[in-house]
Amino acid sequence: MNTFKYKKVSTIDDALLALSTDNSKLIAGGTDLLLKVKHGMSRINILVDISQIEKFSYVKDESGSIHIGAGTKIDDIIRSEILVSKAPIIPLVALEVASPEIRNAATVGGNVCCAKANCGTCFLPGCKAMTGDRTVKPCQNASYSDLLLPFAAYDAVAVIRSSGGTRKVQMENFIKPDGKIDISNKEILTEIFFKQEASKKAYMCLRYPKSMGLPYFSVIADFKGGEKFDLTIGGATKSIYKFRGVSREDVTVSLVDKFVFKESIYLSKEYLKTVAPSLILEAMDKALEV
Amino acid sequence: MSYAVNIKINGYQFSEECDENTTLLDFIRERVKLTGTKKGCDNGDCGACTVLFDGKAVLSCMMLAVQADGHEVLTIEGLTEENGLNEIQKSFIKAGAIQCGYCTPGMVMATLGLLSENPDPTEEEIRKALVGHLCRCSGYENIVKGVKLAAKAFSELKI
Repeated sequence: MNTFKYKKVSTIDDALLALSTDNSKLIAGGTDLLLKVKHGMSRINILVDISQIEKFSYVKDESGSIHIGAGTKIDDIIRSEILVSKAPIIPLVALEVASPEIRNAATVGGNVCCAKANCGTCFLPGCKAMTGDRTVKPCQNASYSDLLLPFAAYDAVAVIRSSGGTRKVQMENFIKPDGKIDISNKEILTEIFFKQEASKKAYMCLRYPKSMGLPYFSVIADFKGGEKFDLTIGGATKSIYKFRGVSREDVTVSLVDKFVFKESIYLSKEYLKTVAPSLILEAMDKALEV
Repeated sequence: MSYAVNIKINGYQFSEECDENTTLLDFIRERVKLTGTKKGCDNGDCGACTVLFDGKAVLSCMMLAVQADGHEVLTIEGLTEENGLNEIQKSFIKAGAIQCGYCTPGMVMATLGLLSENPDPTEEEIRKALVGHLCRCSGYENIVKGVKLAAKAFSELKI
């Protein structure tokens, strides 16, 4: 593993100060970053440990809004009574993230900000993520982080701090058109929040391998009444897609043609295009039963 | 650059200087010389390096020793009781859940993590809890049986 300087901070202000040094990176759970460092994919000057920042880990229900601290462990999301009762799709999706050992260490902020994580699943010849060859792009097999989708479905907002102040970004816009995330190396995601509202949401995911696999195609259908649904779609796609006011009749090839699928090792683009309508319709049916 | 690291491992405080890029796994195995925790893939995929970190099962290969400073770690060696092996270890032996034994410490620690939160897991819950653990001898059936036996032993002993 490459060498770097290590700094443990106890406040967000200290973390922002440390980030002002070039090539500084944040570490919270570290389950994704350490893999990249081990394989020479991330060169770091100062590793800023934010795991000990106080009041960085919480799930709160405040005046009609649910607030989740970026340092909250994924396992704590699964066990949060507030989320289980008021936003059940989030813990449902969180339960599918990796293994219990990873969920005990990994944080919500890390999951969201490592939007295109190393998959580490195949180790097949040519797996670019694992070669450490910095002349090639990371593995095409990587899907978007599991938690981006439910946060986008709940119209969540990311609160991002920098030395210049605080800004807010809708989670559905967190992935930019170029596929990168809307946060710089000098900023910290501090919180994700969304308005609590009665909804009938259902989730379907094509994951491969079934256990510890990647979400190749994920959809959350939100029944809005009058046979209309809001759809949030992700997985091995170029972006997170959100469609509002979609009826069952709209789920056709022309809708699927609006998603840009990425090449993947296990499942072809053609296969994903073929199964997508069935999964969307199944999610719609499930949403009606909620 | 060296950092002073203080980690309580199996109830004993260990204070060592280590490099910033030393993983918790290497700290446990090479500094503290507790080699029961195994290095398998060193990549977060096999689960052989599982330890309890502040009571929760984590992969010690995916954590830096400096991150564990000031925290408590339990390894397979810390399970040994005055009168011998822990109930999980006994149950694994009884169920024939050990073949080459390389994955066993990780499986045992994951089982401890599971049973401390869910004392009466279903077979599905057991399989889901061990999803991050690879056994290349493919002894999964007996490992699941071992976890069930351990759960039963714990409930009889009211642990």
